[in-house]
Amino acid sequence: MGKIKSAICLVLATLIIAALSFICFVSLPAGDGVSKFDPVVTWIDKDANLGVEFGASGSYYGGGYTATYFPQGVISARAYEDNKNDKTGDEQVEYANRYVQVGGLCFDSEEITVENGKVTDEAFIANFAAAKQRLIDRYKAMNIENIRIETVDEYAVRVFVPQSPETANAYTSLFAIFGYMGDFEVLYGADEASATTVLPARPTESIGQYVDGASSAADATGANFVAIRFTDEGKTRLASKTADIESSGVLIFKIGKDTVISLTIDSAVSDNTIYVSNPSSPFSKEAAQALAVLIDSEAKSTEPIPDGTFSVSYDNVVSTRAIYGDSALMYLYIAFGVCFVLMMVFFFVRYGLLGFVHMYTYLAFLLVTILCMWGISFVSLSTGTFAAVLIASLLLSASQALVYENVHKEYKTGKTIAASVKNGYKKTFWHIFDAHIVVAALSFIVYGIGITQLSAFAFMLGLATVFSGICALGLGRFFWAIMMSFTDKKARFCNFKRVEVEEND
Amino acid sequence: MTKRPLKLLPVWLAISAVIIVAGIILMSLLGFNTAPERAKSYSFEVRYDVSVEIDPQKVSALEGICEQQFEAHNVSAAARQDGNDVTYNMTVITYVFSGDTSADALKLAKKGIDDAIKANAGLSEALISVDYYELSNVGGFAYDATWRGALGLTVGAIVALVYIGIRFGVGNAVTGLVLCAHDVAFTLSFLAIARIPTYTFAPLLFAAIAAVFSVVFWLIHCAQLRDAKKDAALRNLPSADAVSYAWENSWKKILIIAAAGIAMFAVAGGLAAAGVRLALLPAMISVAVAAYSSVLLGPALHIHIKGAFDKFFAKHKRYSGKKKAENRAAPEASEN
Repeated sequence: MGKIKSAICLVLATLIIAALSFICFVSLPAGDGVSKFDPVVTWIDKDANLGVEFGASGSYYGGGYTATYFPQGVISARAYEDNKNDKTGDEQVEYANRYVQVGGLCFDSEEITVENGKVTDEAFIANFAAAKQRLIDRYKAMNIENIRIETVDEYAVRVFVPQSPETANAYTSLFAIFGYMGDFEVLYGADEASATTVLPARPTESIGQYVDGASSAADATGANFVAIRFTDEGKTRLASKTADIESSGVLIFKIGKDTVISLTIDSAVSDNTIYVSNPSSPFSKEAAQALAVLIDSEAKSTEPIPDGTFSVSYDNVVSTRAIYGDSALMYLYIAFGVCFVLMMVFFFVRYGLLGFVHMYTYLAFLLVTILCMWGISFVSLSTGTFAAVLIASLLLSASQALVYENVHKEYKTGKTIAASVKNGYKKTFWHIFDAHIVVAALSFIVYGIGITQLSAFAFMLGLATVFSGICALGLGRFFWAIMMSFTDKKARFCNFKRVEVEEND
Repeated sequence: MTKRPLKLLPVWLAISAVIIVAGIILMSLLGFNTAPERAKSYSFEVRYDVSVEIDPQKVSALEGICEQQFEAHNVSAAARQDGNDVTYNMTVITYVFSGDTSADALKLAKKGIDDAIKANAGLSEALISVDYYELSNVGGFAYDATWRGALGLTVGAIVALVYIGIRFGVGNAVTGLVLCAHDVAFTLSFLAIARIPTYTFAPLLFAAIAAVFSVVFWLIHCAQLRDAKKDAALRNLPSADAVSYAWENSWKKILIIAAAGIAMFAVAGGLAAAGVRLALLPAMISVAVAAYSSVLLGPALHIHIKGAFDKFFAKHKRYSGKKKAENRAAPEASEN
């Protein structure tokens, strides 16, 4: 390539890399003195455990939300103190006598038997165990990364749900609806007030006979919906009950005393599946999934809560900061920066100005990877994806070093630099290709089968490996060609030495 | 001539077998050291009603009282988490104590804090509440992720090694598969034996990193073997010599990449926050195990596997040749 063409290519490449670096890493004040332009790295979704301020308003710090479910008849010692202090005189004494404190919980002695600081009420213990299991099953089915469920002083359940910018407010509906306990019923009527139970047909039957399960998905327009599947028996019964529909009717899905879904229908039910969406207030992905999980868990539940009226409730929601600390992400960025500097020092020391070739190649790889992390909705920056980018970076650096070493070896045999580069790439092409294709295949398969952190790690590794392969085999050679054309002392540019000092390339 | 490390297959096999067997026993008896997940802990929660009074100095005074009382009762928090009660608008400071902390000491600390708040004229007792709870982590959420991850890794490794089989021969794929399985098992065993604290999800991540490095390192070895096959002077080397030649040309490369990988995870883990460190530093083990198996165990084992495959193919070749000769001879005989 001629010098002029090379100069144009180099200027263009430099401008593109500089512009992308600017977009990806630089934060600027907007001019009004208040707002600012955030770089792309700020907009990448982050794992809730990694704390750092980001998001549109800069108000998100990672972390998540915690709620504690108390079974009926149980309150926290703090709530007990507050309630007691609100009362006076005999009322206060009566209230104090009514509750028994065990650990951090207070038990209503009118509902639960507590003897010698121990709960001995067998019915309560059985009800609580079943309700707790129901809560665990529901949250487990949500497949939320980093979710945490703990038993509090044996008779309360604490749930931590990590937040992300998209799900910042999804927790309220999740905490509320997952706390619904009791019998699952489907009611039908002309309106909500006149609706009567149609499923299960008899109190002795289980709802599982009529409702097969539920799932959530999005349609072609992106609208989220809940699909409720009925068994043939359920469909037949619903069809017969809704056959007399006039202009419209209401189908209500209830758990205990709480309405999960209230659905207006204008014709008799004739299919096994009902698709529920809400055009006036569309479901978020999480809300649709939560409703589906709730109905599915009830339909498939084989162990009902012994007392159908047993309930649990949460009194407050606590927002907590990121588990790894407020500056965890900043430390990761610093660690990445140190690795980058060490890598560049190695390349500049060993290969001289050829280090610039690697720097351009690596920056191109890194910028494309960052833009993909931002652009792909399900990818977030976590410890796993960070490790994946590190491994792909190592793969790229090792591939580049392998090429440089092979070119150096060729050069030592007496060839010109141009011939050495050609032969060096020819000899290493398949080695690099094989390594990248194998890692990418392994990663994408793990991504396809695995879930949660491993899946995210694998996807990022697969994607970054593809970029690494393209950069090592294509872009790296291109940058080498355009940069080397400016110097007459090509061997010195690459820091290559051989016994014959003559250099006439 | 076969290099010395390649003659020590029984030694490498013994080391790996001891570690893996011990690891499997420990994994089945004790599992991994998931102390960071805190199976049992105490949560000491201090709430300050900021909807009534917002005064950062009073929050600091409250923190001071808590820390003083913890010190006085010889208990120290494993973690502190700041939060906000979004329902009642309260500042919540949560001190998390490990499960082996004395419940009596915490009870006394709570009493000490309550008394100190009462005695402090600047703090309004009505706006502050101090509670502590015993928490047991329900866990069990990693089950689906574990079996699906393990399945994914198995299928992924098999597909990757089918590719190696097509490109470099079945013998290389078989050794690669053995090494990949070995590296995953060795890494997990080492984590279990050394009782390295880790998150529930992390062992599978380290196993995946071991599998990736294992495949890449083995590919380096395979590439050298193929280069030897292309060279007319080396083409007919006996399997031991061919493996030895490939080993001589690959071990430095493998060790340099492994050293770079270990240094990378050491820097990243060393500079990261404490929680992140637990998920990054042990990845060094994965890289080291993959390097060990690719430099020592793999080539030593491959001498035998390659020998067996070479013998099989040579036999198969002779058989085909004999068959072809017979086929050629048959029409000639009938013509005569």
